[in-house]
Amino acid sequence: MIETSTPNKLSNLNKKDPSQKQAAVFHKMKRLKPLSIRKPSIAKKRPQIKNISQQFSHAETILSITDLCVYFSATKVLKNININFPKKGLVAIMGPSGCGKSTLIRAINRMHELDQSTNVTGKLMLGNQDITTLPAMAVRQRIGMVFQRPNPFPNMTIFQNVLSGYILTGMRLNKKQKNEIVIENLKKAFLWDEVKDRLHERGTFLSGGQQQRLCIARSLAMQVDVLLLDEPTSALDPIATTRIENLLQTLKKEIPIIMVTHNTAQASRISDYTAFLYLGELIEYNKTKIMFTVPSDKRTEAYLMGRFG
Amino acid sequence: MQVKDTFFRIILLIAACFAPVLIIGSLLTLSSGFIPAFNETGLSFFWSATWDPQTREFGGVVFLVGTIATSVLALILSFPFSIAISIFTGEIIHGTRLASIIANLVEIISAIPSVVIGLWAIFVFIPIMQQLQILIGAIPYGTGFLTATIVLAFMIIPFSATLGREVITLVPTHIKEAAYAMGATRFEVIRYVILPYARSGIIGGFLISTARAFGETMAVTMLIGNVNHLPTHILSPTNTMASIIANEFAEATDNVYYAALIGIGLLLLISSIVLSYLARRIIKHFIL
Ligand SMILES: Nc1ncnc2c1ncn2[C@@H]1O[C@H](COP(=O)(O)OP(=O)(O)OP(=O)(O)O)[C@@H](O)[C@H]1O
Ligand SMILES: [Mg+2]
Repeated sequence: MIETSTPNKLSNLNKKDPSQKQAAVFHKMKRLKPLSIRKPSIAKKRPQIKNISQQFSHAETILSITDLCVYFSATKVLKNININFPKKGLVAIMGPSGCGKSTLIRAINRMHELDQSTNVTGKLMLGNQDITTLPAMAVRQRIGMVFQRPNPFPNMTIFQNVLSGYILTGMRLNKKQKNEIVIENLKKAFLWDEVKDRLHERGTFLSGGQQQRLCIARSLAMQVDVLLLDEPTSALDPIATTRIENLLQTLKKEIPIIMVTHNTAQASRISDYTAFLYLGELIEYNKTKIMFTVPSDKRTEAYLMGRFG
Repeated sequence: MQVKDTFFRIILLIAACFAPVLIIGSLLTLSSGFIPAFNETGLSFFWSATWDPQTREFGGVVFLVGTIATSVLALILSFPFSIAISIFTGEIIHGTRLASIIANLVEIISAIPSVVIGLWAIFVFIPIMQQLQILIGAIPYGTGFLTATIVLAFMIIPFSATLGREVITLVPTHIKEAAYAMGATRFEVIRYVILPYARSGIIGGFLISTARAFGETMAVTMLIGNVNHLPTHILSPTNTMASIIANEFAEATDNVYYAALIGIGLLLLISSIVLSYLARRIIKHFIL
């Protein structure tokens, strides 16, 4: 993967291509050799297994991905990803910018189908069902997604936002059901106390962190099987971030969560398993505790030490 | 610095006052020009439906009704087309070559001089209408209320379609993605997210269209039949405020007749002002 190049070549690299940039950074790192100096014990202990991947038994698995490839036009952005997600716990997906984290979770939610030039191949199983054969709408109703930027519907109130999954897909509810769903899910999302007196104000008047929790609430309201989050706290301040982290730690007891994060500290705080992606490949997937103490791959180690990304 | 600033403010103030002064000036001029006719007709000018220069009876109601009715019907007729063009070019095929071709062609409609559209209608559209009238057993005038309204509807499409497309493309992707991620279909995203989000702009576009229909003169004058009666039938000829002025101004040698036409101009200006006031109220009401 990483070829030898001269320092001159590095500066000539096309800056627009993040994968090349990453390779360059990584190459530089290799030359500097600070890792073995700092942590000789880990370097010695490192087992020589490539692409170590956490396995779950069929019964433990909620979502299983086989040979997933994503192409944007002709560029292959995700390269044969094989990964299983557990029924219990929070999986963090880490990796340097541009490595394909968002692309991966958007593939799970079939968001790539909105873009004609994007091509996805591979197999996705949700429970016992092959969801690649289902219509995208049906899949998205079962897999919730929370985006990097809080995006409550601006033309809806807080109340309506929680119910938006039902409103948008034309599902009818009676008043009692509506109230129950709204209260239950706002509570689940740790938002009820802050908004209970202004349920009929617009969701966009809330703070960023509150908006993000509202977005989590509207996904929960759909009773999704899995919750995907793409860097849900990267647009938030530290206090709002902590609140979301606490929320996710509670939620993960009830619902499987897959969260993309840039922040290794965040991954170590709240995730049970961590997957490390690099240049569109799954490099390592393991229990978070193990990966953060004894990473198997030197690229994982370099990333965890803040060397690139 | 201070002097420059003051100077700049004065320039801006003068420029900003220009429009209101122009409107108030027109109101005053038209009002004073209208006085000779007003002395003759009194307030009946505003509620009489008889306009007969021979008997010196001048009532503006026929034309007020004509203008409002043609504009409203034209708006209704153009609505499905405008909204379809907006959604189609602004969302469904947004970003494709076809989208920009359609958008450009639609915009070109607004650049065609209305006299040209009038001529085209006389040679192409009126014969069609005559066939239709023969078919249903009506007198085949060809011209008339419906003829003028259909052409008017066509002429005002670009204003609402262009603004509608513009605001639809402005709906942020992350909001649309949120809706898709909830499992909404494309239709549901358009219906529940895009249209509500773009609502005020779309309504604004239709108000510009209406204002345009209100003042449209040349094509309407050529097609409406120029008869000073309230239409008894959707096909019957009638007149609008703009078309009566255009049609009879050159003939109005009589002082009172002339003043009465100026009075119609005054009526048109006032109703346009009322329309734009209502428009602003509506936009405010619908804005997010
Ligand atoms: N719609 C698209 N068309 C073409 N290329 C794309 C598109 N979206 C993403 N890419 C490319 O695919 C690669 C992976 O992008 P992705 O957004 O998945 O990265 P990421 O890991 O989420 O990065 P970040 O941490 O910055 O969010 C990048 O090189 C990006 O330039
Ligand atoms: Mg991303």
